[in-house]
Amino acid sequence: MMLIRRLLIFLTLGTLLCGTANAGQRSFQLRFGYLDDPGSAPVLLAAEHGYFKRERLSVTLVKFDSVDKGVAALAAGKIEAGAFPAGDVLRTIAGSGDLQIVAGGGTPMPGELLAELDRSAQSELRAREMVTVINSGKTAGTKETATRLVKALIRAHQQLQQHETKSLQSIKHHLSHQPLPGAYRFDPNPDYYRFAATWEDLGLQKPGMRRDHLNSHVYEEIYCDALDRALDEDPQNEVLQKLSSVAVCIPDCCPDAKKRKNKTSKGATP
Amino acid sequence: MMKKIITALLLCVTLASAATAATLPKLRVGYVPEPAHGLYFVAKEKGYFKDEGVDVDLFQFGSAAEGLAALKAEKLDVGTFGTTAPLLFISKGSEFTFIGGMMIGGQAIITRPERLAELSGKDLKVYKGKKIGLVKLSTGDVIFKGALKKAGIDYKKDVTFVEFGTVAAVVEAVKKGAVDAGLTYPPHFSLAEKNHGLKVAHYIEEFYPDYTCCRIVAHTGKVNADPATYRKFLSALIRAYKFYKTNPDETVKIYTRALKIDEDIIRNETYVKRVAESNPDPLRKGILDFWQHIRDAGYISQDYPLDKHINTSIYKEALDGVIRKEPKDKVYQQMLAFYKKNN
Repeated sequence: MMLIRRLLIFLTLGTLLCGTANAGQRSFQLRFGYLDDPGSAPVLLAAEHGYFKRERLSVTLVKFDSVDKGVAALAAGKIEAGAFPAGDVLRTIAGSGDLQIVAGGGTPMPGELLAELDRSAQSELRAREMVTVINSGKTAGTKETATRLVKALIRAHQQLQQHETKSLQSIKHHLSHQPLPGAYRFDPNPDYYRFAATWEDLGLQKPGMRRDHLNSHVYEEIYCDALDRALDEDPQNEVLQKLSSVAVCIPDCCPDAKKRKNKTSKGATP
Repeated sequence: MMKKIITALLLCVTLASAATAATLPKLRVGYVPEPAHGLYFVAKEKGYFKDEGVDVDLFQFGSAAEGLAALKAEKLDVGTFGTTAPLLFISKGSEFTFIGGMMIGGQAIITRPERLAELSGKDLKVYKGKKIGLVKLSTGDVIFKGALKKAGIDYKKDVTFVEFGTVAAVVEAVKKGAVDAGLTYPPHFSLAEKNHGLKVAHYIEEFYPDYTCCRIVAHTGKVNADPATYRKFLSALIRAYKFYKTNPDETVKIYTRALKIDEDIIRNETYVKRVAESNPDPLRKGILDFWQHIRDAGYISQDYPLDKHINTSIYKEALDGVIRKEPKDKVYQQMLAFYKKNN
C-alpha cells in the first residue's frame, strides 16, 4: 500500500514537472488581422516564410477590407493581433480601447522632395505606418506570445532588409498592388517617441488624461526582449545589430541579470 | 508563577511593539542588489526607519525595468533602480519624482593585464582609437561619454563603442580580446579581477567626480500627498549614511548578510578602493547633466523638462532635522556642504 502511494506521488510530481518544463515550449494559436497594404509586408513575410512557426506560433491571417472592421474585431477578441495604421490605432487607444502596440511596421516613403520638407505631410505618412497591435486582455499567454510574435516580425524584417525585391515578390499574392522596393520604410521598433509625435500631431492628449496614457499602450520592453533573443541566436547579424543600436531599452543593472531576465518577480517582490 | 509573569510581560512587550509598527506609516521600498545600495539595509537593521517613524518593507528586484514597472503599478512606494531607467520612464509620461540618491560613482574601465600600462594613463586620450565594450544606456556608458565630451574628445568619431546585452558579456569580450576595454559596475569589475585576472584601468570618477548613479524615485502624487513620511524615510537614510561612514566593519557585515556577496569584495569596493559612495543626496545637478549626456549621445532626440520631477526640499528638510538634533556632527555638516554644492 505504502509503495503504491509513493508511486502515485512520484507520478503526480513527474507530471507536474513535465508540465512546467513544457510551458516554454507551448505552442500558441493566433488570428492575425491585416489590410491590403504593402506596409503589412513583414507580417505576410513572417507567415509565408515560416517565421511564426519557428516561434511555435500557429498564425491564421485574416484579411480585412477596412481599418474599422479590423480594429473592431481586435477589440472584440475575434482576432488576437493585427497590423493597422498607427493613426487609427492611436485614436482607438485615446478612446480607451485596450490595445497594445508591440511592433512597428511599414511606412510609405514620400514620393516628392516637397513632401519630405512638409511637416504635415510627414505626420500624415507616420500615421499610415502599419503597426502591430495586440489586445492583451484577449491574447492567451500574452507576454510570451507577444515576444515570440515580435521576434518573428524581427526575423521577417531581417529578410526584408537583406533581400527586399525577392521578399516583396514572395508575398505579392496577398496584396492587390505589387509593393515596390524602396517605396516603404520598414522598422519593427515600436519607438514610443515616434508614436508620441503622431499622438501630438493628432491632438489626442485630452485634458484630464494621464500623461502616461499613451506609454501604457506601447510595449517597448517586449520588442527589447524579442530583439535580445534574436541577437542571442545570431549575434553577428548586421541587421539585428543595427536595430539594437537604435533601440532605447532599459539596461540590465544587476549581477546575473541575464539569468533573471525572463522572470517577472522575485521571491520578495510585492 | 514567576515563569507565567515573565511570559505575560514578554507578550505585552511584543504586542506593544507590533501595535507601534502597525500605527507607523508604511513604505514599500524596491532596490536592486548592488553593494552601494546598502544604506537601506543599515537603516533597517539599526532601526533608524522605525526610530524616525516609518515602517519600511524592502523588496529586491532582478532588474530596473521590473522594479520601475512595480513602482508604476503602485506595488511600491519608492525605490532605487539606476538613473537611466527612471529618466526614460519619466520622459515617457510616468509621474515619478526623484527625492534622493543612493549611489555616487562606481563605474570602472577594465582591460587585460597586458594592456594596463597602455590604458591606465592619466588622460582620457588613451582611449582614442580604441574599441570599448559597454551595456548601452548603463550609467557607465552615459557617464564615460560625458567624461570624454568634457575632455574635448569627439567620441562619436574617435572611439568605437561595442554594445552588449549584459555586463557579463562585456567582461567576456574584454577577456577574449574582442574589445580593448570594457565599462563595468560593481561588483562585476571586482569579480572580473578575482575570477578572470582582468585589471581596472580607471574608475570613471577619476575623470568625472561625484557623478550621479542610482537615484531614489517615488510617485509624484504620493510624495506630494505625504511628504512627511518620505522625509522620515530620508532622515533614516541620512543617519544610515553616518553609520556607514563611521562603522566600516559592521557596515560590511550588514551589506554581506543582505546581498550574499563575498565579504572581501564588499569591503574592498566600499572602504579600500572606495569605488562608489552610498550617499542619499538627490544630486539635482547630476541628474540634469545625466539627461543631457543621454541626449548628447543621440539615444533620445526629444527634450523633456526634467527639473520639475526633482524634489530636493524633502531631503533638505530631513537633513536640517537631523542636524538640529546633532548640530556639531561633522558628517552631517559635510552632507550639508555637499548638498549646497550639488543641488
